[in-house]
Amino acid sequence: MVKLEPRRGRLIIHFFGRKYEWTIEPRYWRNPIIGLILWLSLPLLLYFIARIVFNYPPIALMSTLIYANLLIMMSAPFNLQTIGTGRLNFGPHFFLAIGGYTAALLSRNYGLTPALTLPAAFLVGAIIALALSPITIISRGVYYVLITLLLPFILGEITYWRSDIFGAETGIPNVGLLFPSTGDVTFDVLIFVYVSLVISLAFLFFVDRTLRSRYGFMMGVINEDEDVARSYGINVNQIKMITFTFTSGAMAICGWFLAHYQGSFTGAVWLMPSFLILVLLTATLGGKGAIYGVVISAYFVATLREVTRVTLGELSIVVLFLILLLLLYSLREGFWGLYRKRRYREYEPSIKVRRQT
Amino acid sequence: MLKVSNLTKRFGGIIAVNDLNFKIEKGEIVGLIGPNGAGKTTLINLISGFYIPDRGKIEFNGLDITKKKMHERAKLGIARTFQNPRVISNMTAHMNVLYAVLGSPYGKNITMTEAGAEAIYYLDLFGLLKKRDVLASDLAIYELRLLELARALALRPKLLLIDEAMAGLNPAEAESVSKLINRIRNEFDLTIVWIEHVLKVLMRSADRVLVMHYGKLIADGKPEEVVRKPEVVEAYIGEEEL
Amino acid sequence: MEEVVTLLDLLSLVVAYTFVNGSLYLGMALGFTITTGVLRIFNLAYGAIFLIAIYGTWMFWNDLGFGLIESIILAILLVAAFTYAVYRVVILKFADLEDYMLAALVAVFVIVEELIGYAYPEVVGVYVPTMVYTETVPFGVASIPGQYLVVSLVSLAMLGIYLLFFIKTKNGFIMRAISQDMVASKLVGVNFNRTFALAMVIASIPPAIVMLLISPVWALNPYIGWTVFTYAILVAVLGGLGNLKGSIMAAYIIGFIQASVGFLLDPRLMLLVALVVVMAVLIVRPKGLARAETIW
Repeated sequence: MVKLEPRRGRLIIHFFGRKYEWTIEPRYWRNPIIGLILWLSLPLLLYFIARIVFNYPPIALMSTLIYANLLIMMSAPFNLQTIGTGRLNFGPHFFLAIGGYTAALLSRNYGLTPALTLPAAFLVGAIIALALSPITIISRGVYYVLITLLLPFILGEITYWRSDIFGAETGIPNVGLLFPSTGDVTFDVLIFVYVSLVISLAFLFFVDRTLRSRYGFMMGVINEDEDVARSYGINVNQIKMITFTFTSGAMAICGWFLAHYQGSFTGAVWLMPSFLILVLLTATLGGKGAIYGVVISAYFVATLREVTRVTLGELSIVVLFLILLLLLYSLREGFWGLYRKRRYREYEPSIKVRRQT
Repeated sequence: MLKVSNLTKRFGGIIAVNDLNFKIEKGEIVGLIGPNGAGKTTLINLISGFYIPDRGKIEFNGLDITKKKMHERAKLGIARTFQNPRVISNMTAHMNVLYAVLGSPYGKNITMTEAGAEAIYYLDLFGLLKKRDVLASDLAIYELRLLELARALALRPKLLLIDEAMAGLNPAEAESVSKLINRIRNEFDLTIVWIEHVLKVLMRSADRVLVMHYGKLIADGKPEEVVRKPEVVEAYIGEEEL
Repeated sequence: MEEVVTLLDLLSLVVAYTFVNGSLYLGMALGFTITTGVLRIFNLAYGAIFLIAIYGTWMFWNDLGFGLIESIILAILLVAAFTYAVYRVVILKFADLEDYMLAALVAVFVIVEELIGYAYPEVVGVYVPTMVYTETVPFGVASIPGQYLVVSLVSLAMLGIYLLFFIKTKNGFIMRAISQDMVASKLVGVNFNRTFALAMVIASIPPAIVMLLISPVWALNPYIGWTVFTYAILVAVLGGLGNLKGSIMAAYIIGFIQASVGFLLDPRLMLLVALVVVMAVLIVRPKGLARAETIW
C-alpha cells in the first residue's frame, strides 16, 4: 500500500501502486538553510532594533513585511499556475476576494473560527476555480487574458449590486481576528508577520516540490508545446484543470488571511487593477519559474511601495509603477536572473525544466 | 493491428482524406507514398488523434479509437514523429526523451531517476548519448530526426507513425536512419507506417506500400508491384509535368 | 388597453436606448477594435485615452487659458502623442514578451489615472462645455437627451469615415492586408512600423471625440477610464477582436441587453449582465460573433 524505500541520496515512496521519489541532497541545502534563517530572523531583528534601540513601535515596518509576504502568497501560486496552464491569468485577485469574502461572511454571520473558515475559503475558491477551469482549455492568449481580466469586474459589480451582503465600498466589518490580542498591538502585528511568513513558506515549499516533480516537468512541457505533450501521453487538460483549481484555492487563502488579519474585508480595495499589477510585476520581476526570486522581488516591491508612500504621499503609486516599469525593461530575467548570471549552482536534480525568459 | 474504414476528413471545401479503407498487420512496415497534398500527413494526424475524422472508423487492436483523445492513443501504444521536427527547443535532448518515458503506459510506475536512466538508454540506441545535455535548438537536422525517433520509441509504442524521417538528410544519413528503423522494428516488435519521399530507401524496407492521391487510396500492395501500376506512375509524373 | 400602452412605452424606451447606448459604445470601441485588428495587440492602456481627452481639454482651457476649440484640438494632439509614445516605448520594446507588454500597458494606464487623480481630484469639478444640443428629443414615450443623439450620430459618422478609409485609401488597404496576413504583407514591402504607428494614432481619435461629447452629461472623475474601457473591451471582444462588422453587431447587442435589463429588471444589474453575457459568449465562442482578427 504505502512503503518507504531509502536509497542513496533519495527516498522512494510507493503509494498505492505508484512510485514517487524525493531527492535528498544535503550538499545543496546550505544556501537555502542560510536564506531561511535570515528570512525567519529578519522580522524579529527589525522589531527589536526598532523597539529597543530606537524606542519606536514598528507597526508600519511590520505591515510592510506582511504585505511582502502577501505578495509572495499570491505570486508563488500564480507562477505555478502560469507554468501549469501555459496561460497568463489577469485575475488572480478575483480568487483572493472570493476567499476574503467567504472567510469574512462565515466569521461574521455564523461565528466560525479562523480554523474553520480556512478550509471553507480554500474550498469555495477551489470549487469556483474548478467550474471556471475549462477556460484554460478553451481559451488561449489574449482571449484568456480578457476573460480573467473581466472576472474581478464581475465580482466587483456583484458586491455593489448586493451591497446588503457584501457591503460595497465599506466591506464586511467585525470579522474575528486570527488570535486573541496579547494587549500589545505591535507585538500582535509581529505575530501576524510570522503567520504570513509561515503561509508563504508553505506555498513556496509546495510550489517548489511540484515544479521539481514529474508534474512540474510535464507542466513545463505543456507550457512549451501542448500538442507535443498530448502526443506523448500527457493528459494536458487534466493537469491544467488541477493546477488552476489548486493554485486558485491557494490565492483564496490569501483572502482568508487578510480578512482575519484586518478584522474586516473590503473587496473593492483588492479588486483594483493596481493590486493586479503589483502581483504581476512581483511574479515577473522574480523571474519566471524561479521560486526564490519571488521572495526577493516581493520584499523589494513591498519596501519600495512603503518608501514611496511615506515620502511621496499621493503620487506614490505613479512613482512606484514607473520604477517597476523601468526594472521590467532592464531586468528581463528578473532578480533571480541576476543571481544565476553571476554564480549558477544547480540545486535540483539534473532532471529539471530550465526555463529561459 | 490497425483497421481503417471509410475514413474521411474535410477542411472546408477540401477533402483531405476521402473514404479510406485499409488494414495493417502486426509487424509490417507499411510505406505511405503519394505526391504532395495527397493527404498522407492528414492520415497520420487522424490515426494519432490530432484530428477527429468527419466520417469513418479507426480500430486499433480491435478497439475503436475514432473518438479517443491524443494522449489516450499515445498510452494505447501509438507514437508518431513530425514532418518538421517538433521537439521542445528549450529542453535538452535528454529531457525531450524523458517526457516520452513519463508519458508511456509504464511512466506512472517508475521514479524520475529511473525514467532518466531509461531515456539515456533510448538516446544511446540512436547514437545521441554525447548530445544528451545539448539543447534541442542546437542540434543538427540529422540529430533532430534521430531524437524524434528516440522520443517516439521511448513511449514504448506498438504502432509507430513516421512522417518523412529523411527529409533534409544527405544519402549517407538517410541510409543510416533507414537501417535504424529496420533494426528497431525487429528488436522492439513494432508495426510501422512510414511516409517517405525518398522512394528508393523506402521500397527496400517496406513490406507493403499504400499510395495516396487527392485523398484517395489508389494502390495497395508489394513495393515492386505498386510502382508499376499505371495510376501510380500517372499520379507522380502528372505532378512533375505541372 | 392600458397594459398594452405600458408595454409599448417600455419597448420605445428599450429601442431608443439600444440605439443611443449602442452607438456610444461603438464609438468608444472603434479605436480599440482597429488596434487589435491591425496590430493584434490588446492595448490595455486604451482607457487612458478617455481620461487624457477630457482632462487635457480642461487643462488647456481652464488652466492655460486657450479657447475651447483650440483646447480640444490640443487635447486630441496630446492623445495622439501619448498613443505614439506607448507604441514606441512599450509595445515595440516588449514585442517578443507579450505578458510583460500587457502588464506594462496596464501599469501605464494606472499611472495616467493616478497622475490625473492627483492633479485634478474629483472635488475640482472638471467640466468640459461641449454640449451641442441641450433639448430632449421625444421618441414614443421616451425623452432622450439631445446630446446623446449627437454622440450617436457622431459615432456613426466616424464609423462611416473609417470604413471609407479602409476601403478607399491606400493606407487603409495596407492595414487590411496586414490584418489578414502579416508575413505576406512584409514580403511585398509594407513598412510595418509606419503603418502600425499610424494605425495606433488614428485609432486614438474616435474615443477622444466620443468622450468629449458625452462628458457634459456624465459625472466625470479620474476613475471612469476603467468603466469606459470595460465597455470597449466588451464590444470589441463580443464582436470578434478587431472586426468592425462584428463590433457594430456587438455594440447594439450590448446596448439592447443594457436597455432591457435597465428598464425591465434593475438598473444596478446593467453592467453585470453585460459582463456575464460577454463572458459566456467568450467561453462558448472564443473568437466572438464575427470572424476575429481581420478588420472587416
